[in-house]
Amino acid sequence: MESIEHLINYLADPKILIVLAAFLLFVSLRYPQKFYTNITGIGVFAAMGLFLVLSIFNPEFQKVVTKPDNVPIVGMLFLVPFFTWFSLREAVRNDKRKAEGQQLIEQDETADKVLSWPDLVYTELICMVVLTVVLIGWSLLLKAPI
Amino acid sequence: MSPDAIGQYIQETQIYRSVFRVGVPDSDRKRMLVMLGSVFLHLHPVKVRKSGIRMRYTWCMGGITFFLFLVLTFTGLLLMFYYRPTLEYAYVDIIDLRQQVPLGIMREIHRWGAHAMVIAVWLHMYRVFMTGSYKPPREFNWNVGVILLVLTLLLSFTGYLLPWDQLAMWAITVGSNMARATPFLGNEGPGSALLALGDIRLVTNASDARFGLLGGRFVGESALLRFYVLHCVGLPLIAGFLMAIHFWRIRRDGGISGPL
Repeated sequence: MESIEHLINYLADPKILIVLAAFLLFVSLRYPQKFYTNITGIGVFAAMGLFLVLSIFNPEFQKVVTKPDNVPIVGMLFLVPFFTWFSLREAVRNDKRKAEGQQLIEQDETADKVLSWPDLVYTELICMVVLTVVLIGWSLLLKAPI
Repeated sequence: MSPDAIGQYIQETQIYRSVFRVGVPDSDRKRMLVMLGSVFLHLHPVKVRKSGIRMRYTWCMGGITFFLFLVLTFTGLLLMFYYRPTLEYAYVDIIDLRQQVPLGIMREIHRWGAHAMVIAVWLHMYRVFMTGSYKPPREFNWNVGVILLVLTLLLSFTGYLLPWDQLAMWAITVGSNMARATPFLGNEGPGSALLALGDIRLVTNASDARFGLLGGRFVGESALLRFYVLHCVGLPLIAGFLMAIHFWRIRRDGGISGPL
């Protein structure tokens, strides 16, 4: 376990981490069709989740990630890669469609119009309800710092 | 009486009919009328592109940001009943809100909602960038959005001082020191020396952006009051005004993001 910690500490050195992250981003953008697929997405996020779960056993790490002010930052560590992967996966799909002479996914739907009531209004209502529940749950579980 | 009959009875009352003029929107015509007849719903067009309601495409982040703004306005209003922005009471009131209110989560919702709003507004901007929705004819609205992002961060910044603890005070001291380096308006910023009448500098540490922000040379009672007023009234008013423009321009510029 200690050797893993040492390896992670070594990789987390900003000089190494930023160079590695930049290199990975460059390679992923060079070969997007290989990186931005469902399989790689599931693999990367499963690995990140596993890393978080295993790291929680380290008391210092646990203290850092569960500190109330840090919780949103931990959330962002997952949200930003997820949305980057998600949007680039859509971009890869659209590139493929363009290469095949088809319209973009969104263009296919641009001509179709739906009534705001109920389609849009109900979607918004569901989002509001879910968000309210999340916020209340978050507030009950985690006391806000002063 | 059956539930249907009760529903029918309620819908036929004068009170119900005076509020809900269209009735149950059970036909396309009524669905259109209900959108046109409601002050809240008429912010939306009667019809939207199919891609405009796809969470896959919009991530719903703009709507989530607006909803969080409303949540923060509501919870902030409740907190204003109890919080007093003075050196004597500010910290004590926050401690009271934290410790003396049974099951009180308004401050928690306000705090976590603020964090969530910053995240949502960043992700909204990210989505707009990734879908190329900043391009003409939407470039004006992109700029309005950037100003709204800055206002969101300023709302967080001004709210951070209000608990009046050591962390808040020193965080704002560090943050407001940056205002010293504002171009032209900060006394240490580039170009500030150009604003002078002969040998007399107009931008000094008693007249620059930092001084204007704090109401003095250090973080004290004037800063607390200024941040409170900015946080509760000034910035939300400006944000509300710009949001109205932002929403209006979405419709004027061709609807929720999508190829034009």
